Amino acid sequence: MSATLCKKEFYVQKFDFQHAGKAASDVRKLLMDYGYEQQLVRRVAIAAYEAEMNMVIHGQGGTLALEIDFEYIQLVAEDNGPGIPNLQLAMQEGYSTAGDEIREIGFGAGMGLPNINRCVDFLGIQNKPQGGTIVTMQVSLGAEK
Amino acid sequence: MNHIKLSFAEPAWGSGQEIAFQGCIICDVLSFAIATAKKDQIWICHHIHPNIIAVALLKELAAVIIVGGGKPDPETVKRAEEEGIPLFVTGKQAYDVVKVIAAHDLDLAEEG
Ligand SMILES: Nc1ncnc2c1ncn2[C@@H]1O[C@H](COP(=O)(O)OP(=O)(O)OP(=O)(O)O)[C@@H](O)[C@H]1O
Ligand SMILES: [Mg+2]
Repeated sequence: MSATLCKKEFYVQKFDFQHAGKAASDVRKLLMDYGYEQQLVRRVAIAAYEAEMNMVIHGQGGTLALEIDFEYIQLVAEDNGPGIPNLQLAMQEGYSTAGDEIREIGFGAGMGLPNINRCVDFLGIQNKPQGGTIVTMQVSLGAEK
Repeated sequence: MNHIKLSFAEPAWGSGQEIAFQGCIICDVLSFAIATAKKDQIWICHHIHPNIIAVALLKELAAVIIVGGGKPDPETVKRAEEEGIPLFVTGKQAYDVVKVIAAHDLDLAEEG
C-alpha cells in the first residue's frame, strides 16, 4: 500500500545565485520538523541541493517537488531547459558543461549528479520530448545507505 | 571537540563566539566540499555568495571563514545569521589561517 503523507513544491529561478539553495534548505527544515533521522535528512537535503543548483545553472529554473510516502521520500526536479543529451557522460564524475563564470563561483566540478547518486536509493533522469529534464530521486525509509 | 576563538578574523555577524570544531576543510569547489566535508569542520573558502551558507548547513559545519580579503554579499551575512552559521572574514591567506587553527586542534597533537 502506498499513501502520500506530504507533498510540497518549491520554485527555483534560473541564475538566481542569491536565493539558490533555499529550496533544499526548506526541504531539510521540513524533514527535521517531521523528526526524521539526521543521516536520512542529510542525504535527502544534499540530493535536493544538487538538483536545485542544476536547475539554476543548467535547466533555466524549474520546480522541486517533495513527496513523503510511507516507504520513501521522493524528490522530483523538473525544468524546461535544454535537457541532458548524454546521460552517461553527465553521470561521470568531473564531466561538466559549465562555463568559466559558473566555475569561478565554485560550481561546475561535475560532481553534482554523482553526489546525488551516492545519497539516494533510486535516481532516474528523463529528458522530456519538448525539452527539459525530470530528475526523480528516492530515499527509502527504513533502509540504511 | 576542539575549541578556538577566531580573534584574527572579523565575525560577519554576532560577536565572534568561541567555535567548537573537529578539523578543517579548505575547498573552493562547492560540490567537492559537499562530497568530502565532515560535520563540525571549519570551512575555509574564498567565495562570498550565499551558497556557502547552504553548503555549511547541509554538511553541519562548525564555521565558515572567507579568507583572502573577500567581503561576503549582504545576503550571505543575512542567511548565515538566520541559520546560525558562524561566518568570519579575514584578509589573511588560507595557509596562515590553517596554521592558527591547527595549533588549536588537539587531535593533531595526538596524531603526532
Ligand atoms: N537540469 C539540467 N539541465 C540540463 N543539463 C543538466 C542538468 N543537470 C545536469 N546537467 C548536465 O550534466 C552535467 C553534469 O551535472 P553535475 O551536476 O554532475 O555537474 P555540474 O553541475 O556541471 O557541476 P557541479 O554539480 O559539480 O557544480 C552538467 O554540466 C550539465 O551539462
Ligand atoms: Mg551540478
